[in-house]
Amino acid sequence: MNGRQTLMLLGILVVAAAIGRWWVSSQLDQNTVACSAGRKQLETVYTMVDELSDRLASSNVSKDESAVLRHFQERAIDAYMGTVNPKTRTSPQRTYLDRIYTIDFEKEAPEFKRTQIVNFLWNAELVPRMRCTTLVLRPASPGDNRRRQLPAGAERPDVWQIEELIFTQRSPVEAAGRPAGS
Amino acid sequence: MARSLGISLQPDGCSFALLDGSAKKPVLKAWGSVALELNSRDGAKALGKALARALKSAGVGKTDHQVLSVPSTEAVLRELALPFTERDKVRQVLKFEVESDLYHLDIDDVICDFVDLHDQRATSSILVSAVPKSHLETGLDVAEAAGFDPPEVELDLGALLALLETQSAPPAPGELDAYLHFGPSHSLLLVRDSEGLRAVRAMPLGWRELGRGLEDADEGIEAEGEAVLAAVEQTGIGAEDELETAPGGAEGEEGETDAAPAGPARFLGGDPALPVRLSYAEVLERGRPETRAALIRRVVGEVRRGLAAVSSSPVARLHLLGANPPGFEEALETRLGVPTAALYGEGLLGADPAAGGGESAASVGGSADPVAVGAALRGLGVGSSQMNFRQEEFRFASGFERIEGPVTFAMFGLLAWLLVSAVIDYKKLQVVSGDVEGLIAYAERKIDQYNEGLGEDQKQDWTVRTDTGTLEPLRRLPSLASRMTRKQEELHELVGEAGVEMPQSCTDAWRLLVFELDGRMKTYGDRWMAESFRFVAQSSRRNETAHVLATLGLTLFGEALESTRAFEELKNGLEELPWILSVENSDGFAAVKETPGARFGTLQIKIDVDKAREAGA
Repeated sequence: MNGRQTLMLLGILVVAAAIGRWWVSSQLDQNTVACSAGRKQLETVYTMVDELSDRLASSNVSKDESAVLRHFQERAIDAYMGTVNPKTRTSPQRTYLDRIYTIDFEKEAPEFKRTQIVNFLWNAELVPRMRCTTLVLRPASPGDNRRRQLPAGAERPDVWQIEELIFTQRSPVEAAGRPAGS
Repeated sequence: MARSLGISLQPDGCSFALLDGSAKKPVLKAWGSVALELNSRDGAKALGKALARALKSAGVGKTDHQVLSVPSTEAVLRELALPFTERDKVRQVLKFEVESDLYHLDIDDVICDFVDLHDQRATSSILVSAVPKSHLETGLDVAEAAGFDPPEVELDLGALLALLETQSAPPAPGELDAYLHFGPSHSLLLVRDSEGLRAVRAMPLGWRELGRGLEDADEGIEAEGEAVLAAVEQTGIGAEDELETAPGGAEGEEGETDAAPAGPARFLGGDPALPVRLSYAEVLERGRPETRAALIRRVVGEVRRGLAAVSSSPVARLHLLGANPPGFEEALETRLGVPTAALYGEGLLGADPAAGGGESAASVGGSADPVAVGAALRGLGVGSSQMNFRQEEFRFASGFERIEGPVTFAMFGLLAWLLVSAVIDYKKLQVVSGDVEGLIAYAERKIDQYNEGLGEDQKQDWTVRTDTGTLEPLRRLPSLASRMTRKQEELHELVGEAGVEMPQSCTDAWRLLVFELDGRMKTYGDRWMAESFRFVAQSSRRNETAHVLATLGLTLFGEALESTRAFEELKNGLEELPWILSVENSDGFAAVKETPGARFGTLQIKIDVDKAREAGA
């Protein structure tokens, strides 16, 4: 092999090595960027997974109405408020549909502590687009089966009677008139 | 058409010839010669500069080929028989084969090359020429000083052979022709048959031997300076007219004279005892007849011995080139018994001089040096000699070859750097890609845990796929993140408001009101109690945004004035809150009959829960 052939071979090798190095270098750059971005993406994935898990665990995200009613009953039991009988009616509007749940307690005297009521209300609203739209509370008169109203300033325990409790679930209506997502 | 410059170096100077045309039809355009300057410390350099001036004055200009011919004064010629004749193969073994014949030389001090011989032996014969490297170095120094770098360096016998092969008719089959070039320092005897060169003999006898013993030989010449003896622009074949315009032809050598006390002792193997400054004519004129007769006898004797050793076949003719002193032809013809005549021709050899000065036109001064012409012919690709002594350390390097070494070194360095850096980057890549794989594995494991934690009724809607194996590694993690983001958006869409105004939450309104009430009534000095809560969500109307209408029944104990002030302060304080739209007290703040010391009032408060959330309440 003469010098010119050697040089030509070297040139080919140099070109091949340059291409190889460029490829390796570009791969390294891409992987370095991907690794740097990957750490943030991993954090995001962890955050989203945790958030999603929590929300899915605590929310009734079913689109079925019976599941919502079951949700109310379960939350009431959780708050030691006895059995509830939600009554449902709908109020269709132009752009949305309101499902109105009126909560009746089976308990003879629906008297609860404020913490029970708050707990129930808070968890009941975890259903998507569910809001408590009417809440009427008055002090309970324990032992008074006729549920007479106590005079103002009368001494009493911190127990409350739910006179009226209404939840409304408002769902957007698609063009066909059906609630979106149902 | 190509311009070829042939330069013939001799121990007493050099000559050149410029040919224009092709190998088949060369035309002699210019020729000349330059004498060695004895007063110069560096004879080669001085000769080269003088040659450059001569070339310039002859209008040689740019040439396509340059061939340098060095004299065979110190070359060793040996005939060698080899079983093969392929040039490349012979050159590989040449030094090894000829080394035993060059017992008096160090084989590393010579450059060897060869010409093919045509004899009647069964094996192939070659004539090996071993030229001392010092000889070649001197020749190349002259060329360098003259400003050119000849790609080919030929021996004078090779150049002469090229001239004869083109300018002299080959002998008839079965006959031998001999050619004697009687040069200034040495002579060459070539024998040809109809097929080619049969033998070569170099004889250390030249016409300058006629001046040996002339004590003032180099002192009697008056001219100084220019070394150029003749440089004649030639436009045609007939050179006689132009030759007369040259500064003296052979006498031109008289132009060089000074009492140079110390010149180079031996330039190209020349004998320093011989007069360099005297021209051929002067040597003839001043030399003693008996010296001339003795020289002729010696030359004839050498020629006879040479021809006797060449072949058993008789030589048909003897042609003379170079110097032809009076009585030389006759002596040769008488002693050898061979018809002898100077070689003339209408071609490059020059015509027979009408003056009959006893020397060939193609010899000394009168015309171009046959060796220089032969060298120029070599440049045009003529001649069977392919000898080129630019070998080993004298190897001719073209423009590219000159930078080949540094470029090769640089390429090696570049290649090494590229490889090393590529390997380092590859190692880094392995580590980083391992990290990326680890991140993907972490993400997949986390999502798998999430999937496993889903309830049966959630699995269908909320499972996030982790089958990213078909994707490129760098796309897998973004894909997982994207899938998680998509699921989160789905949940947001499902749980969120989806662009529809939602009724405000009474739960939130209760929380806000109780929190504010507790905070504001903390400083009240007596008892207080909330008597009733009524929250009703109100949709937005034409001039009223959506809100929760809260009705709060409040009882305060204590002094009438104090409790009334506290009630008013509470009302005013609530009104100042940004998320309270209005506070009204329609039925006043009156004493309770059933409970002494207590006063009761009702506040109708419009609470904007969304605004409260925006305000961070």
